[in-house]
Amino acid sequence: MFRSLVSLLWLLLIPCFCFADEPNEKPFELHDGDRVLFLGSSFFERALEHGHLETALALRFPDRDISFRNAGWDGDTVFGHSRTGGRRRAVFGDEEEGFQRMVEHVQSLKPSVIFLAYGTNESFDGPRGVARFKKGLHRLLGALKDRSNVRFVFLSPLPVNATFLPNPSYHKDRQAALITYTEALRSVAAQMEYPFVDLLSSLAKVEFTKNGLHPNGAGYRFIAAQIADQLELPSPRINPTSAKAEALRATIIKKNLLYFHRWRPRNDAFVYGERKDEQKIAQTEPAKFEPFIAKQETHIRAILKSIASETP
Amino acid sequence: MSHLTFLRTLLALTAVILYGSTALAQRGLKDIPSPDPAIEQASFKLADGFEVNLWAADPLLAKPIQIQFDAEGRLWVASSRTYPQLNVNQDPSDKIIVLEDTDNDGTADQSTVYYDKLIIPGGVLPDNAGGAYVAHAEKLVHLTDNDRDGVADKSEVLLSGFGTEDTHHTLHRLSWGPGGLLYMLQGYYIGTHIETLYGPRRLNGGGLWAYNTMTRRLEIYSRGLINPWGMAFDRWGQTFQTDGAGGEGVNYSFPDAVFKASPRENRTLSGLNPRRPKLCGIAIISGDHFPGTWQGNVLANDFRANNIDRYSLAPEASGYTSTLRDDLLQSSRVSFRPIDIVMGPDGAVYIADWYSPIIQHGEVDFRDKRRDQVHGRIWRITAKGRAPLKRKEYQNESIETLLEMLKAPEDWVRLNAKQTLKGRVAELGLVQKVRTWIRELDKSAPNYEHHRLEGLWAMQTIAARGTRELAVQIINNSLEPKARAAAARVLYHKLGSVEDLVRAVNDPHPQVRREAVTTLGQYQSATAAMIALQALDHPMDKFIDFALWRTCRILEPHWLPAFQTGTLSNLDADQITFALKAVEKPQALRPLVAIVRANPSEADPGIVRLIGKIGGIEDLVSLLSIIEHGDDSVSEAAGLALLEAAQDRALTPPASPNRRSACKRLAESSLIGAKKAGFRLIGLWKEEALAQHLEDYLSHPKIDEASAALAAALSLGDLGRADFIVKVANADTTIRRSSIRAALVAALMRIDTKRAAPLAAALLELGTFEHFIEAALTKKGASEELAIALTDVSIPETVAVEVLRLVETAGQSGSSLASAVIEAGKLQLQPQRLSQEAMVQLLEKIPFGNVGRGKAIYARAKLACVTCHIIDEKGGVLGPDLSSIGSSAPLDYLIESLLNPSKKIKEGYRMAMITNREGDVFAGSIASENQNVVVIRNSAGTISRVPKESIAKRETSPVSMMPSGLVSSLREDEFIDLMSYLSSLGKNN
Repeated sequence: MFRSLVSLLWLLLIPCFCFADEPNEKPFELHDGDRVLFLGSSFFERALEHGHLETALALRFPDRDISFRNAGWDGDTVFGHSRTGGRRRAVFGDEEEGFQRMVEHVQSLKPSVIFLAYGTNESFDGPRGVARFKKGLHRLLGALKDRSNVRFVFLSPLPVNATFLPNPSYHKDRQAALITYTEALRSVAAQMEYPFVDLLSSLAKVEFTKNGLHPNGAGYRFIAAQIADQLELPSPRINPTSAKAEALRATIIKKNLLYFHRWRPRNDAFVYGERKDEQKIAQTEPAKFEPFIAKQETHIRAILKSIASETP
Repeated sequence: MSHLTFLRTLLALTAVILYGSTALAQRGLKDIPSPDPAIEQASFKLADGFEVNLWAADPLLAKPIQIQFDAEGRLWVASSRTYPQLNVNQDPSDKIIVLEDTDNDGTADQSTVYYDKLIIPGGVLPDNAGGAYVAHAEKLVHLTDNDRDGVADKSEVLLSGFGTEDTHHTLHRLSWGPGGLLYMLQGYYIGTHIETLYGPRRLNGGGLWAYNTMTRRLEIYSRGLINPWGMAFDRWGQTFQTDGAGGEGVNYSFPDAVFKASPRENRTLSGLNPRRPKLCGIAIISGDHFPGTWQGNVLANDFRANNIDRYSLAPEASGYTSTLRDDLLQSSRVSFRPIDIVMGPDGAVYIADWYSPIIQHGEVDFRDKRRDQVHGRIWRITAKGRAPLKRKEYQNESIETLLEMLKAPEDWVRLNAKQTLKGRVAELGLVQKVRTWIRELDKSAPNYEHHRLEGLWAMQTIAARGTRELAVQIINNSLEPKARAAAARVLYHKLGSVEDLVRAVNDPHPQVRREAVTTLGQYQSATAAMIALQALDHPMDKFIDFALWRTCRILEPHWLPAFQTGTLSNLDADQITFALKAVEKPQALRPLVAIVRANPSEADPGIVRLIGKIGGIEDLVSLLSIIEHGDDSVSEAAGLALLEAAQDRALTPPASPNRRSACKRLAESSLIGAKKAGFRLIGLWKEEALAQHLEDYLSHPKIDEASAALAAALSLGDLGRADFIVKVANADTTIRRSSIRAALVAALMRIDTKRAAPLAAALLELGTFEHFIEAALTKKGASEELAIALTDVSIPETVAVEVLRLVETAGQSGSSLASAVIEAGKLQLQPQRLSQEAMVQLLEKIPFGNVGRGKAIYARAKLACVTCHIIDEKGGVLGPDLSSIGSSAPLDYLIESLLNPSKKIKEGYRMAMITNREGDVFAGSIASENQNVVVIRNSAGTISRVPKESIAKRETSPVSMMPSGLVSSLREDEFIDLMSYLSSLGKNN
């Protein structure tokens, strides 16, 4: 039933610019030349060191040239709470600046697809915060759609397991809040006609975490498969646990770590912030990561090409 | 030799070599001291009765950041050769090294690389089960060694999202507290956003974190300090912090404390040793190896001056005083950089020596070759003639033996025992054994109260049922106030209920009351606030006052609505007033206004000022009657409050006879603050009828309060009476002080620059520039007029230097006014750039300079050094304190800073430039900022309040507040003497 809902939603995706040449019944897929962005909180930031999400998506379209960037930030919200660090030579900006920085960063990456993972942090505001969350989400979507033809995919929050929480009543409250925010996301997705991936219910009985909050390696592997399945993507061309897939994943991790350093450099305050006048050298270095990132992307392409050629 | 000759010569010599070329950057700049540890050791001077030995040195380790002993006596070292910045595409390669003295001869003989995939690890803390917690860049990770081969085989990320803004501010310094929590620090530049099971945790700026490794609950323990790099608990569980970038010595800290530099906090606690050099690391002496007079003393590293300081603490009210004693160790070796200090299992003190001639992160290039990346030492300081303590075994001991260890005098033994118990939580009957041990303690033993407290901490460490009950027992019946205070803090972690703390809030000892007030902040209810406010029935001190203020703010969502609906009863007027003042919210203001209105003659000046800050028009009106009925000091507060409302928020009570008479009373007050407020309000409120009062005041030939005259003149300006100002300014100059005339010209500058400019030029000729120069630099178009008026005028050289400084620091270097001042003062300025070769030549001469003569040159008025810099508590605060600049800054950096101040501006000393909608520009440092106004201090030290409503543009100036060219009037020998003096500051030899 869920799958049909997804494909139903997909038909009407972004009517304003229309993939006019696309048949309406076609499910979500990644196209040749797509630039995919992961935007959200720790769900994506912590995915960096595992690489499963990107590997799983890439393995389903190895013959297409698709690039990925991870812009997840621990603790982030649809309001850009975690992106408020100093710019304009001030130490800390306000929420509004964080939001603007997020929008500018996303626009500079020119994504064509954005996987959005928000809601967990916001859910701590409880039922009273839902209206504000939805408003914030609409504002974010509006700002990111501006001037570009982005396709969004919404991911729901992850469930929380009672064994990690101090008492059953807290678990009940948390679970209720997560359901509320998941439903809010689902309704916005439906309204905007974006695909929605429900991880809250599909992970309910799965051991995906060692700390109650963040997926571990096996958890991400499972989640990656879930996302692909719920989006009805084609099967992976090779077994995701095969040596070749693991080589691909290692390269993807390397590329993503390099991009992390490029995007959120050590000594950021000297590069962009309050201490900018103290070091000239610091400001030149982040850009120097670009060729190294490009090199890893070439490797990734080469591995995928060989996979594509070996598996018709 | 004529002035400037040497600089000209150098410039001519090297004109073709570009500045910044590295070709010649080596020899002279690389004044690298020999890394021989024997030479370093020979430089150490120890306090009487102590000696030092080299415990470990490179290549056993390199670049230690934090050191921690584990229960087995091995020293864990967080080590970074990557600091201060990872290279592009460099794989993380920093290490955790484990050092061991296997033959017990007082030196390490074994070094193991435990893990080597880290980025600048700021801290390490062994878990006593073969693993360790490590601060790894933006993450807290737990490394484990499951096969027990001494090398980590697994890394788990526990927390992520610590900021990456600054590698020496990000997560660092891990340690255990007495109740089993893990504590860790971050510095000012860091913005942290961490997801936890209990919600996101966000901390902008410095602070202390507390993390429960069992429940994974993370909390912000205290906020602020610029870059705290030391935190220690004393024997009774009180907390102390040191700050590697702030100069207030030992800071007494407690939960929810806020120290300086915490963003958006307007009230902070000060350290216990104001105006001390920055300190890195902290250790509190315990154990019998150190003599009795040292017990409980604080050791901390003055890493810039190459010393280890000793402080003694004494209780005072609910807090402490701290006194600097003779140093434990002094060195003249610039590379000796003590940055961490711990007590070892043998009772000796161990020092981590970062070993580098360079300490800076910011000022010296990240890739500067002089940054040492290979050395590092561990020094061991022992008391002569006193035997080392025998190291205890923990792992194989019985629970009973471990519990007996809680009676040990050494803080680390008790801590290790509790940590070992924590590792055995799964053992059957553990909790029962701990309880039995506590129950069977000998109540008549001299340290019974401390043993019982250790029992409580042991219960807390293993999360035992009954922890709350024991804490309450101690609060209610312990004879030792320090135990009662510590027990109240155990309940901070939401273990009890508010009723548990009623007695503690009313305890005879102030520290217990302070602790209880803090703890109540964690119990989210109106009742908690009501109980906390009972502290007001007892003597207050600054720490209790702070704690109660903070608790009232934390609990505001619970008690304020109850108060507004009238369901909060049983509070007296003092308690209500305290609570309402604390929250500073408009909805809390109405009842305060009512209190003030009921008895205006005895109004609380604090409330009155608060009304000015956040009150509406109606509230401001009620201030008028306070001016009418209150005593002088209360009406002064009301006048200042009305002024603040008018200036910052453009809020003014409507015109009325009351308003006019209030204004008049202020203007006629004998208190200068009230008088100035009255004068200024006449203009801001457009009280035309009182203009005559101002004119009478200014017409009096003998007035001498320039600031009052300025207020009066500004108001006359608001009332459009430029003619009168010009007339008075031109009046008989023999009887009118030039400072009064300067004030008049400053006011005129704002309304009629054309007529003000010639008057200003005439005053400059006489050597006066107060007030009006700043007005001319702020007002749009005024500086051009003044430049024209200065044609053919000559001004004294020292005045010209000072004025030029103000012009340049207002962002107008190179302007027509700057040229006019140079011309009028006949200043000879030269480009201030040195080639590498010239720098090398200069550097070679500085050791031969005359420090005494340099000191006299520093004091010359013409150089204006003293105006902005402090040395040994004398001087201005606009620039960095130079008291120990010689021990912290390399010479080439110092020379460059004098010649070209804008090249590298010390953090925190950068100028803001704010332009308002009328095009006026305010340049200076931001002194403070709230929701209404930005307070900016310009380079003359003058404060301007710029309402946020009026701001059109806000930017940071790329120009230093220190003018360039100051030293260009010096001869070469004079410049060398000055440099010799500066480089001697903070060195002991």
